[in-house]
Amino acid sequence: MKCPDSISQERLIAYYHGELDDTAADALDEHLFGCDACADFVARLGELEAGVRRAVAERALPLVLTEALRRDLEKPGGPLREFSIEPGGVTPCGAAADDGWVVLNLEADLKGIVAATVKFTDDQKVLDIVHQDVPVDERASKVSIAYPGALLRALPDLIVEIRVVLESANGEQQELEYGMEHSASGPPA
Amino acid sequence: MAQMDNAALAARIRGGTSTAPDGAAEEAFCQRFSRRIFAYGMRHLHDYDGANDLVQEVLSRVLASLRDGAVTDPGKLESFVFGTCKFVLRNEQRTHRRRQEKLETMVREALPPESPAMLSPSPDPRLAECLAGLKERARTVLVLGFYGERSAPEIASELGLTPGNVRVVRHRALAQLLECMNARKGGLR
Repeated sequence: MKCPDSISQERLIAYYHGELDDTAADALDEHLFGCDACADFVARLGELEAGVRRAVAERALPLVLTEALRRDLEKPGGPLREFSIEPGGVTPCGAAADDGWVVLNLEADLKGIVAATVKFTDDQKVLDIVHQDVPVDERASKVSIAYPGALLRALPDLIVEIRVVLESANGEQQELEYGMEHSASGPPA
Repeated sequence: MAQMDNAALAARIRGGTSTAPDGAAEEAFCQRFSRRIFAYGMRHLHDYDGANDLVQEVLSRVLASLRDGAVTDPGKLESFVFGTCKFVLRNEQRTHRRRQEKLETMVREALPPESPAMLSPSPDPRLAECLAGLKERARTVLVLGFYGERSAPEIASELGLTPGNVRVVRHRALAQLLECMNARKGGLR
């Protein structure tokens, strides 16, 4: 299927996200009803949206948190359980039975940093988690990742090492280490 | 029937009766327009169930109008369907409860019994696996856009990027996601 007016996918994506002016958006609204190629692409975007919403609602995978996304996650169930660790520090952690999300805040000086890689290893070789190309806002003082509570509750007692490689705009790298003592019986009192 | 133009299709449906509708023509009409209506619905509602409800209601209304001869210019069937979508959406909030009850009745009475699966399938749980395959930056941009309903400039502000950069990341992430979903469906799409 091809659009007879050669409307690009970028334009349809912008249309879908409400980024076009009213005149352009109205024109594309009408165009959908005469173009199967564009209607199908926009419908697929809709299906992806529905799938992403479902994945987040079902806590199917970890999420990198911005402050706005943190507020979005807090809306249904209230404040999230959070653990903060400074470089070189160790913190006890665990998930309570009713924790939907558990947030890990890795504190760091992020000035000039554009991306991070976060890697988890543990004493029992249970974890195989690597977060690549984590977006970093240099105005923030931490890298925050939300994990499904169910994921943590499934883990045994573990001594976890977290290695973070921070990458600056000029390609320089800086490595930081953090530690967690995970308890299968839940969070520290 | 799939090759028939809209005017001819409308004429076939008009030629049917309430006791002997032209099932093949009505089914072809539903096939032709359901995805277009779904695309429009997702763009405006960003709600999967709402978009599917819109599909059912608009198809029901338009079919009823076609059978009754109320579509005065069958050659402009696309415009008529588009106009019906706009009308239904405009009235959605005000008449939501009445519409649900009426919709159930209309659907029962109006839709051809041999209708194909007009509704888009439920959000695919395999999407979570495809999402997990994205790098964090790409996944974060999609989550902020779809779940957080943020535009590219808003996402850029949250992540310390430029809107142009966000659009590039978004487009590539969507392409990767669609490719992954296609592969999991055996390349049927």
